[in-house]
Amino acid sequence: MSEVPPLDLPDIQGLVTTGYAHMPHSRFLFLAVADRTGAKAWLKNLVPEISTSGRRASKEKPQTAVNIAFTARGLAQFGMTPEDVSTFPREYQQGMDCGDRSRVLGDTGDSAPSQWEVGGPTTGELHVLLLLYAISEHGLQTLSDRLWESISTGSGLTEVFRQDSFKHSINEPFGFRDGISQPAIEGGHGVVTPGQSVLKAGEFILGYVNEYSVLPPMPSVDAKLPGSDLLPLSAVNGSRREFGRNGTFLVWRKLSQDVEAFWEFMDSQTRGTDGTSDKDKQIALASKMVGRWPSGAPLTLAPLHDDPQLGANAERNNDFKFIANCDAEGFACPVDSHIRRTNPRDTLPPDPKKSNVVSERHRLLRRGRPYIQTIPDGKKEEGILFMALNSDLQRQFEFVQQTWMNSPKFNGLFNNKDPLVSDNDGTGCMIIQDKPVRICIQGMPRFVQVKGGGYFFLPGIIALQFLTHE
Amino acid sequence: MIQSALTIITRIKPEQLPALEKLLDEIGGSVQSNGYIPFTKIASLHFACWVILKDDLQFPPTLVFENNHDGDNETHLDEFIAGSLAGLNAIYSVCEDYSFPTGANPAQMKRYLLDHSVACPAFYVGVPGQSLVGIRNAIAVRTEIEAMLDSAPMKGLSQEAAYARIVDHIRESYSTKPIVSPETLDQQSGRAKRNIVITALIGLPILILVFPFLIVWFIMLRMHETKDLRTQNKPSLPIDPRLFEKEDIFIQNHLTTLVNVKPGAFRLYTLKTVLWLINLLAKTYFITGHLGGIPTIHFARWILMDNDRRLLFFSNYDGSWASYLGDFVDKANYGLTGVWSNTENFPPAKYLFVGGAQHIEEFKQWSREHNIYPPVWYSAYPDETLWNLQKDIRIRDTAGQPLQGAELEKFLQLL
Repeated sequence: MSEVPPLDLPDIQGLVTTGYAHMPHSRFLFLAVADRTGAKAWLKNLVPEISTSGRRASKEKPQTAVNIAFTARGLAQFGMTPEDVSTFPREYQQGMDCGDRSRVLGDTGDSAPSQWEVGGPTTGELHVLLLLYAISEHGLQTLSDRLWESISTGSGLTEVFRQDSFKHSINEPFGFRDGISQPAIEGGHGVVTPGQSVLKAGEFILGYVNEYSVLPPMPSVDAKLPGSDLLPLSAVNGSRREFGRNGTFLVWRKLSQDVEAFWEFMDSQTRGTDGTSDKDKQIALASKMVGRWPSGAPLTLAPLHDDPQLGANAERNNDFKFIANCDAEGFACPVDSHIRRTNPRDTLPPDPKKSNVVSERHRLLRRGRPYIQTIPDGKKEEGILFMALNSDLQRQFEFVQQTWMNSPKFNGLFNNKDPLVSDNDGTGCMIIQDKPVRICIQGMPRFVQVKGGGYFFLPGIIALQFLTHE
Repeated sequence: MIQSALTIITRIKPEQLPALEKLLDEIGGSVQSNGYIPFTKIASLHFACWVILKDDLQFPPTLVFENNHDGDNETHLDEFIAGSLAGLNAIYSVCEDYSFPTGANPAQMKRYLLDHSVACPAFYVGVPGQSLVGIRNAIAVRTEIEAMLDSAPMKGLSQEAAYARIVDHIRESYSTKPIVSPETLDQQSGRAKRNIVITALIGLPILILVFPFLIVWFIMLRMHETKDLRTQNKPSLPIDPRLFEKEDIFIQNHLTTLVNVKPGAFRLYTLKTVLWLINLLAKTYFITGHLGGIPTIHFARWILMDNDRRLLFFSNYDGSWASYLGDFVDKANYGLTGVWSNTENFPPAKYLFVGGAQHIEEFKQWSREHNIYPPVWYSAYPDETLWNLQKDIRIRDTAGQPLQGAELEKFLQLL
């Protein structure tokens, strides 16, 4: 157990080890299989194009990147038997639009799957998610043409939905620096910054030991299947082969952010007695909800005002805990705030030491990108294409969403949800620790709506080759 | 007032099983307002639950009722039966040993239930000594203070001035007079610390005395564990889909886990000893709102049934199933493994306490496969977490006392 097996980087898709930060243009193509033989042929041609983590390790900066992921129904469409699909976890098999999952995720009301643009019960079944990245708009279009548009007719697949993204800013649409706290993979490449957690590879890649020092459950196929001899034999069951090795689960969610309503709400809560607006107070209140200032500076380290130097400094902007940095009570960064919920660090019971261990068992690799589009009434719609990688949907993504963000009882609170991204419905409130007593911001609306999404599996390269087998 | 656990086990007449299931679904479907059991009116009832055990065909179909209540069983049953006699007759008339053609009268029903009640070898209470009346009072006091804070913000006031307003408000309020706990939470945690010292002082000499026996026991244990590893043949059991439907709807959830004890006297007596130890700790040390580090359990118990061949675990907890099971593994895996490694199909354990529940995925799968769906489950305060309750009790017990400095600051932070 002491020796860490090296990551099989050439078999791991590139998205696992990089977010392609130098490629601001991306396109997400949601495809459905119409004809299995055609789809397999299309996939066979695509496999050599897939970006792997091995390529990344060679240090040259590519101009484009291609990754691919599948829903459970998609795997079945590529010929996987029901028995084999049943070796995947329940959450993945059910899919994000299933009623059980919606309850866990808080996808209700306007955010319910029945209202979605993609991935919902009435918007067409999703089978394949093709992720395209490029350094330029032109490069993205050329790539997309070559791999999809020019050959789509007769490919055996149809396009269900597409979503483009241009990462024009380091800030998310509400105006806050995004993507600061990100765990590193043990044995992966890249420099570890102060305060960054280095987690066992098994948290993010199947086939490796996780933070519990055990192997995550391994999806497998019948070893008698033709073509399955490509895959490694299962260590626990000689009649199975490991389909999941070097793969991981990808959560994809389109989250629209009501920027106007967000800042209007801050304004309405901070107006002076004479009715005048105060921009600084609005930003201060919004920052209390986020837990960081717009620059990214954490409130725990910068309690009174923004510190852009701190916010921009990757060596310092994530190097903190709450209790260890004298913010146990939440007077600087409220207990209710977004970053204290999504990564509680040392604040969970029974004590900081245990909390540090437990917090690390629910982390995500975030790969999100912003989007902006014109909606029918001529207005702009902005938001985030939330993407996250994890080896256990229930213990990682769903847990954070259900037990930390949407729980009104998080860390001893009475009735407060994540003020930024929870399923608030206008009746809840936000509690800000203050002296002499807490301040309660009433009538918290839902600022972020779910517009679509799905659970995908991002297989290893060898598993992709297995899928192309006739 | 002391909280108790009542467990009643009855055999169901096999032909009546469908009728009973239908009846319990009807009661459980509107647990707050059904026509059979007026749960909300029973002033001594914290939690209650009926489950049907029928999947293991080695055993006849069985109905188990478990509740958590104030005071002794007899007094509680008097109150329970007084409002629920017709409902209880409807439920138990389909069970064996029920011989009341025109329905049992209150005294007969009480006798019948007590005759079928079983002892509880290990029982844990999240907030010991807090009666339902007291809990409701604490919730009301805190809710009232909160409402007052929200209607008149205190920004700019000194701590002392803010506290004076709160105290005045409670004094003026005639609806909720604080009923202060006989033993405060601080006194309780002091008692826990003293108890652990006393237990160690008594326990250590005993341990030294029985050490030779322990060595023999340990060698036997390792032999059993090695044998279990060789014969480990873990069938995959079906999971009741209804479990998912009732989960994560309220803040609190209920967990029933039913397993078969490994055959042989060695495992049974080891299990009984571990349960005895857990019970001892639950009464002496785990009296401050956590069971082995898990801070979300209101009540928990283990019951041996069917001539000690089956072990039943009941608990009422806060949050999602996934977070509860995660807590088991993160915080209490040794203790739980110590219990359940003596039962069949549990993930392999070493030295009684190691392994087992540390295998998180196997442990979760094992739990799902052995969880029993509760058709009827009632909580008297379904929106309160244990953490909430502890804050409520602290607020209620402290508000009105002369507080200053750090003590005052601590009080105001509870809100």
